[in-house]
Amino acid sequence: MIPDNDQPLPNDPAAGGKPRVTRRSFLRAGIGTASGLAALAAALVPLKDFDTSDLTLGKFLQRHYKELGPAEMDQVLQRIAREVEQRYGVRPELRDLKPKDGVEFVYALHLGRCIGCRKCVHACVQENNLSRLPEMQYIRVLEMPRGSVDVERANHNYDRPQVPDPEHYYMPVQCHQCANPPCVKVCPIEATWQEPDGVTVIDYDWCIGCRYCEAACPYWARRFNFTKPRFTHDANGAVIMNPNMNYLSNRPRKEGVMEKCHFCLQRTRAGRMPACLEVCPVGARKFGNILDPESEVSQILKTKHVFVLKQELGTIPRFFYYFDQEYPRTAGCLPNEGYGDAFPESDGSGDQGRSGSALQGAPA
Amino acid sequence: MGPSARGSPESRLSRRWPSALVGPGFLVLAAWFLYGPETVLVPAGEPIAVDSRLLSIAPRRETLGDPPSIEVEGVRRTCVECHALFEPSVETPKRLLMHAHVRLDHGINDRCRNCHHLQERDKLVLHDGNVIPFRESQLLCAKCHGPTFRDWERGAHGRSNGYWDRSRGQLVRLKCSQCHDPHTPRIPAMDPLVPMPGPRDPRADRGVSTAPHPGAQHPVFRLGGTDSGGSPERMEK
Amino acid sequence: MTAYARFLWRCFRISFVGDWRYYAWMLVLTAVSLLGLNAYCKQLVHGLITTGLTDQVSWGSYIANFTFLVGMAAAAVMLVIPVYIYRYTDLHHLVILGELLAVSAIVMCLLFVNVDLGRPDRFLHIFLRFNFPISMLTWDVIALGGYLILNLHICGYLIYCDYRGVEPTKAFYIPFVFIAIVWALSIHTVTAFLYVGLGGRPFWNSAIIAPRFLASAFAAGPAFIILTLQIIERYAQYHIEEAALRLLQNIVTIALTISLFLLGCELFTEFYTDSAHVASTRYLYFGMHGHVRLVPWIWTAVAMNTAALVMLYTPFQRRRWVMNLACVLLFIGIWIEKGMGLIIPGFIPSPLGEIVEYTPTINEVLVCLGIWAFGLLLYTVFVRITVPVLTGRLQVHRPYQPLPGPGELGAAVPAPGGGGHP
Repeated sequence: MIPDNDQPLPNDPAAGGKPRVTRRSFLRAGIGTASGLAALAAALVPLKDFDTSDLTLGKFLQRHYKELGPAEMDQVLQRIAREVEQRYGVRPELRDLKPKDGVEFVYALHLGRCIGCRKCVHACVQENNLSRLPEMQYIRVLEMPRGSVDVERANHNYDRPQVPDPEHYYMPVQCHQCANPPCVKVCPIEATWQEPDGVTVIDYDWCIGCRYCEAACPYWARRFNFTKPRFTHDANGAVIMNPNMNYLSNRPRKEGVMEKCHFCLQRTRAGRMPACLEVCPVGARKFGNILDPESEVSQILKTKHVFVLKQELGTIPRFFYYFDQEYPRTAGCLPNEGYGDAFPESDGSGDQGRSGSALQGAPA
Repeated sequence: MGPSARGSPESRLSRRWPSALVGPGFLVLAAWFLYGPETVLVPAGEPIAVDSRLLSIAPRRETLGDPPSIEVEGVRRTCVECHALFEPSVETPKRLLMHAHVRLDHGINDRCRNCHHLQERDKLVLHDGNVIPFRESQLLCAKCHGPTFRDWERGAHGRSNGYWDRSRGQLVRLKCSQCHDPHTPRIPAMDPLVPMPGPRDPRADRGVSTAPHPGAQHPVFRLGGTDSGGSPERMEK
Repeated sequence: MTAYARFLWRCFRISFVGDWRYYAWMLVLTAVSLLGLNAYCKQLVHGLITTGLTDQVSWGSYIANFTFLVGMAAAAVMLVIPVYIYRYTDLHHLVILGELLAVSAIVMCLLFVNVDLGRPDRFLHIFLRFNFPISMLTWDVIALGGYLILNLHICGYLIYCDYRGVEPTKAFYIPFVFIAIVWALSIHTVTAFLYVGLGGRPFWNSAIIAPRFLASAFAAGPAFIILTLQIIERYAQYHIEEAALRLLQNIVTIALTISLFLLGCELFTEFYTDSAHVASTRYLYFGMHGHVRLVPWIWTAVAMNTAALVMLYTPFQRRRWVMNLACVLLFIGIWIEKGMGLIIPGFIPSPLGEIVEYTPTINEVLVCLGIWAFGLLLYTVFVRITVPVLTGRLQVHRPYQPLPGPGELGAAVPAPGGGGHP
C-alpha cells in the first residue's frame, strides 16, 4: 500500500494522484491476507508428524555408492549401523562385501520338485529384513496348470490344505538378475545397476522412488516401500532382525525407496547359499558360480533342459527353470498309483505279478 | 480502495460483500484442516510373524546313523542285539511286531530283504549281494535310481546347504535318507504358508481387496504340527 | 533492472485486482490448492500408502494427469504454428495466451511428477548422476525443463516489451519460437517413449502410442484453448477473432479424427490378433475375470469422443454452443482415455498375470485437484496480467486503467470524471 512516487499504483484513481487507503480497505486486505496465511499454516499442520531423522546433512551429501571410497564407505557404514541400533535396538554387523573375481551367480530351479510350500518366500522375508506390515515378499510362487507356461493362468493366492496339487506345478518367481536388465536401463539416476558378479543392486540411499524400474520389469520382481517398514517383536519387545547386514542388500530400508531380491548378497558374497535355497524342503533350488565348470549350476545348465521366462524380451535372465520328470504326486495316494493293475497291493504272497510280463498285462 | 460516495447503492453492494467472504472463507478452511475428518488410512495392527521353526534349514529327517541303532524300551540297541536272537523271515510279515511305524510303500519293493541284508541286519545289501554300511546308503538308492543318483552327484537333485564357494566353506550335500523316508520315499504333502494380503494390498488393515480365492484370509502364524513332514522320524514301540 | 522489478511488483498487485467473480474464482482455486497441499503433507508423512497404488499398479492418477498435461503443454504450439509458419498475423497476440497455458501446464506436470516421487527430498540426485541418454526419464527432464524455460522467456519477453511499449527484437524471440515448435512435439514424444520402450508391458510396447499421444493432445489442447479464449473474451473483455476460434476448431477436428482412427487401428490389431498381448486391452474394454472397474470409463470416453467428432463434422458445428459442447466432451473423453485408458491398463494384468485393480484414494484425488487448481490459478494470474498489457491498460509510466463495468475490487474507484458506472 505504500505509494511509489513515479510509478502510480494500479488502482490509482488518476495519474499522479495519491492513493486512497482507508481503514476499511486496509482492514479488509489485512484480514484477507492474515486468514489466507492462517489457512496455509493450517494446511501444513500434518507435517508436524514428519519423520526428519532421515533428513540429516550427512545423508543429503552422501554420494552414490560407486563414488564412495573406502574411508567414506566406512563412515557411511558406521552411521548406518548407529541408526539401525537407535531405531531398532539391534546392533548390526554391517559390511560392504565386494564381488569376487571370476564369479557370476546363476540360479536354477527344478520345477519338477517345487511343491509350492512357500517356505522360500518367508525364509527370504526373515533373512533380508523385509517389512512385515505391510508385508513385502520378494518371491512370488505361482501355481500353474499342467501344460502351460502362460503366467496369465497362474494362481497367486492358492491356499490348499496340502500342496502339491496333482493338477498343478509350482513356479516361484523372483528377480532374475537379468544380463540385459530393463530396470537398469530406465533408472534416471543410476540408483540401480548390475554388479560384476551379475546381481542387479539398488543403492537405497540414492533411489528417489520414481518407480520407473517397477514399471519396466517384465517379471514383477521389484518392490516399493509405500510406507515405513515395520518388523515383528519378540516376547521382550525387541525387534526381530537379521543382524548380518550388507550395504547393498539387507540393511533396513526406509519408506519411498525400491528394493528387490539380491541373491542374498550378505550370504553369497561370503560364499554361502542364499536363504531361499537353504530352507527348501525338496531341494528344488540350485545356486552357484556359472564361471566354475564344476559347480552345480554349470552341470545343470549343461545337462538339463532349462528354459527362462519371457525369453523373447531379450532380458537374458540368470534364473533358469528346468524339469526332468513328470509332475509331483501327492502323498497319501495309493501305492504304485499310476501303474494301474500291474502291481497289485502287496500281500506277501511271493513273486506273483512281479515279473516284467505283468507290465504288459500278461497273466503271471 | 474505499467506498465511493458516487455510484449506485447496488454497485456499492456488489463491490463490497464478496471481499468480506475472503477472510471467513479461509478461516473455515483452516478449521477444516485442523479439526476435519481424517482422509488417510494407514496399515494398522500387528506385523505378521511366521513361526521360525517352519523355516528351519535342518534336514527334514534324522538318519539312523552308523552303526544304526534304535531305542527299545528306553534303551539304545543296535540291530544285531535283537536280530542275532532269531531267524530272519524271508518273506515280509504282514504285520511287524517291532518297527511298527514302518510303512512300506516304495514302488515295486515289497520285501525288507530287497534292501536289508538278511544276516547282517546292520548292513544294507546291493543287488549283486555286496554289503554296504548304512552310511553309504545312497549307493543302494542308486542301484535302481540311476539317473537320479547321477543328478544327485552333480548337485542337480536334492538340497545342498552351506557354501557354494568351496574355498571358503563346506558344501553339505544332503543324503537321500535325509529327505526321503526309505520305506515311503515320496515327500509328503505340506500345508503351504499363505501369502499375506500385504503384497496385494499394502493397506493390510482393510484386508484383502481383490483376492477372489476363498480361504486366503487366515493368519500366517502357525505353530508346529501343520507341517506334516516337519518332525523327524520317531520310533514307535 | 529496477524497472523490471517494478513491473513484477505491478503484476503481483494486479493479480489482486478484479471484480467479485474474479475473487470468487480465485478463492475457490486457492481453497482447493490448499486442500491439495494439506493432502500432500499427509502423504509426505505417511508415504505413498495414502494413495491407491500397489506394487502391481505402481503408477496411477498422478502419472495419468502428468501424461495428459504434457499433451496440453505441447498443444500450445498449435497456436504458434499458424501464426509463425503460416503467417496468420491476426492471431499473433493469441500466441502469448497459448504459451502461457503451456507454462501453467508444465508447472502442473512438474508438480505431478514431484508428488509421485517416493523421496522428493532427493531431487538433487537427478543433477548429480544423470543416466542420459539411456533412460527416457532423463530426456523427459531435459525436455520439460527446457520447454518451461523457453516459454517463460518468450512470453516474458513479449509481454515485457509490450508493457514498455517497445517493439520486441526479432532475434530475441523468433528463433526461440521456432525452437519451441519442435520442442513441443518432442516433449510429448519423449513422454510417450517413456511407456513405449518397456518390453515387459505389451499394452504400451507399440509404436502407435506416440502418434496417438500427439493426435489426442492436439485435439484436447486447442479445445481447452477455445473454451478459455471465450471466457477471456467475456470476462476480460478482450476481443477474440472468430477466425481464430474457427482455425482452432479445424485443428481440433482434424486431430480428433486422426486420434480416433489411430484408436481404431490399435483396437483392430489387439482384438484381431487375439494373442496374450490383448489381455490389457480386453481388461480395459470388457473386463477380465470379473474385474470391470475401468469398462464404464473407457466406453464413456469413446462415446464422448465420437459424439464430439460427429458434432464437429455436422453443419451444426458452425454454432458456438455446438463447438463448445464438442470441446468439453472431447476434453473429458481424452483425459479419460489418456489417463485411465492408457496408464492403468498397462499394469493390469501384472507381468505375472495378476489382476489388481486400482482406485485412487480421497487423499490422492485431493492432491490431484489441488494441483489442477494451482495450475488454473497460475493461468488465471497470467491472463490477468497479460490482457491488460496487450490492450494497453497496463503500461509503464501509466497507472492501471480498470475495465469499465461493475467495478473491480481493489480498483473500485471510478475513472476520473466521476459519474457512475455504465
